[in-house]
Amino acid sequence: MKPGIRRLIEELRGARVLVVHPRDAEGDALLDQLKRIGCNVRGIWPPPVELPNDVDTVFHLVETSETPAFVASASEGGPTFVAIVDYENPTVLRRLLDSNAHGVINKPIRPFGILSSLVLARSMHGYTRRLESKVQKLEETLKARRDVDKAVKILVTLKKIGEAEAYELIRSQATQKRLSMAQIAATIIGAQDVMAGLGLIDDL
Amino acid sequence: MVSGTASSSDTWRVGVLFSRTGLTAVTETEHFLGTALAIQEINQAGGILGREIEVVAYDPESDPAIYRRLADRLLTDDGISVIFGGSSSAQRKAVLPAIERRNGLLWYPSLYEGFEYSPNVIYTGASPNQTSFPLAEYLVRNHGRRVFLVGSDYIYPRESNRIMRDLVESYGGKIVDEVYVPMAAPESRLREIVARVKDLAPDVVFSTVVGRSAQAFYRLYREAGLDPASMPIASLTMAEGEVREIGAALCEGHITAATYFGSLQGPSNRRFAENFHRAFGPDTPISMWSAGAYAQVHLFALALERAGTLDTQRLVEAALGLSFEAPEGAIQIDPDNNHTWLTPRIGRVRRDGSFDVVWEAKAAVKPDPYLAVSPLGARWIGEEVSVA
Repeated sequence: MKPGIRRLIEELRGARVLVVHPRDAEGDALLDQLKRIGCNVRGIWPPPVELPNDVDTVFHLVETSETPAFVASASEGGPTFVAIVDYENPTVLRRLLDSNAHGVINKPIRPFGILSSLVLARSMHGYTRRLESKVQKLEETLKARRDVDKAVKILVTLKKIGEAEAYELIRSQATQKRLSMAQIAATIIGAQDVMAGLGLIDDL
Repeated sequence: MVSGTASSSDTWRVGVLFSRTGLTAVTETEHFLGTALAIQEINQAGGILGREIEVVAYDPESDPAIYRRLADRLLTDDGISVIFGGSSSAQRKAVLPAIERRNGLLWYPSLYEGFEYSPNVIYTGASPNQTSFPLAEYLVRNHGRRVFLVGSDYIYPRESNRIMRDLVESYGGKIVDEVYVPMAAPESRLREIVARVKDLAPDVVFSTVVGRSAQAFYRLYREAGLDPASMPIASLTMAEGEVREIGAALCEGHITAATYFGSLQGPSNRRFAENFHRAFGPDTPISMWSAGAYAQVHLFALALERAGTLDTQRLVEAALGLSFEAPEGAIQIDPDNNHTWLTPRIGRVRRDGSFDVVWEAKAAVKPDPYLAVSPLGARWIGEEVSVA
């Protein structure tokens, strides 16, 4: 817990924050507080067509008017996104949900709460990103596992050997050729498909 | 409890909330006296823009809930917007919602753990970068790497100890234990802590125990035979008044990091000490509490003179950037964060209960409440200090 909060706070010192909010007293209050916290911060209004790519955190006013959805809606690999809301009607809540924001602050903007929202949003963003990459890895592993199983079955049929032996063959090929077992398995499956298409072996 | 007789139309009415009773009565009484002295000086000199300051003072009994209630009373029933008060974060946090909702202005004179900014508060006490930062380096370099943390169980000790842990580790030191006691700690619990210190034999104890519990802790520490000369307690709050309560002989050798000590030799402090002793008797100790509370009333007077109104917005605008020749030396309200430029110092208790200043910064240091520009492990103490 302790190193965690220290790291989060230290990371704020280098944070590059963009505030998308009209340049008024509240916008200034937000910019000033972010500076006090130690962030590199700049403001922009109206919302830019595209987000500059040198920011890692965006505070963005959720507007109620007919403007298009914000540029900054949270995306994979995008910046941490904190929404600023001044209404809580279903229209604004809908926009808030659509934005996939990691955090939210309310108007009128006051200094208290900005640091908490910022730290929580950045932490949630990091957590989400770690979960996403974990899910991606698991999906790859699962697919690899299915391919290896399929390749084992092909070898068992073609070479009339046991499953354990087939598995060992795939592994030794992977080691020899410096490829992953999944790649060897995919090659076997592809080869089997082509050979069967040419009538050289039976369909399994 | 209302003092002063002039009608409110020809005076500047301000509120004062410092406890005269309860757990932190000793320090808060010093706050009160410093505040009273400054107001007396200003009124005797003809007031501000020809109008005297009129005080409405209540005793919050060291209790955050009572602080909150009395702040509400000042802001509503008494129609007062400017309040001088508070000696702990728990008290300040209790008062803040009332202050912000009624758009009042709190002048908070005590050191605290940072990580706060309100447009309705002027913070004239020290931030951690003005106390803990140099203290950590001083302790590790002069007393050793093994540090024991003990605190009262509320936000100031928890956060101060978190900061101290990071600092000590950044200087290559090690925290041997971190323990907490209730605000009104029973003596048996304090005895356990003292025994634990004796067992672990650290090089130094950093204590954020406050109020009467702190006084008892220092007493029991000495009674248990622990020697401040070889294993001092370091603190950010132990000042002359409490040292006297405990008994100066029992405190000799302990260390406090603060921006003011009564023993400072500057002309502004001599003037303050003379006036203070004339007003409250030669035996009443002066400390960071009275000096800080005194300085902020003078800053307020300068701001009011500029603004000409008690309107919060205009008073704050006038206050930002103001400087004053305080008892500790030149101080200034930082225009970016409402905190105050102060001069960090480290003092060691003498046998007579005053402090030897063993280190001081060359000039006032910018307050950095969010520790945004204060790197861990930075150099504060000059090369001339020998490494223990």
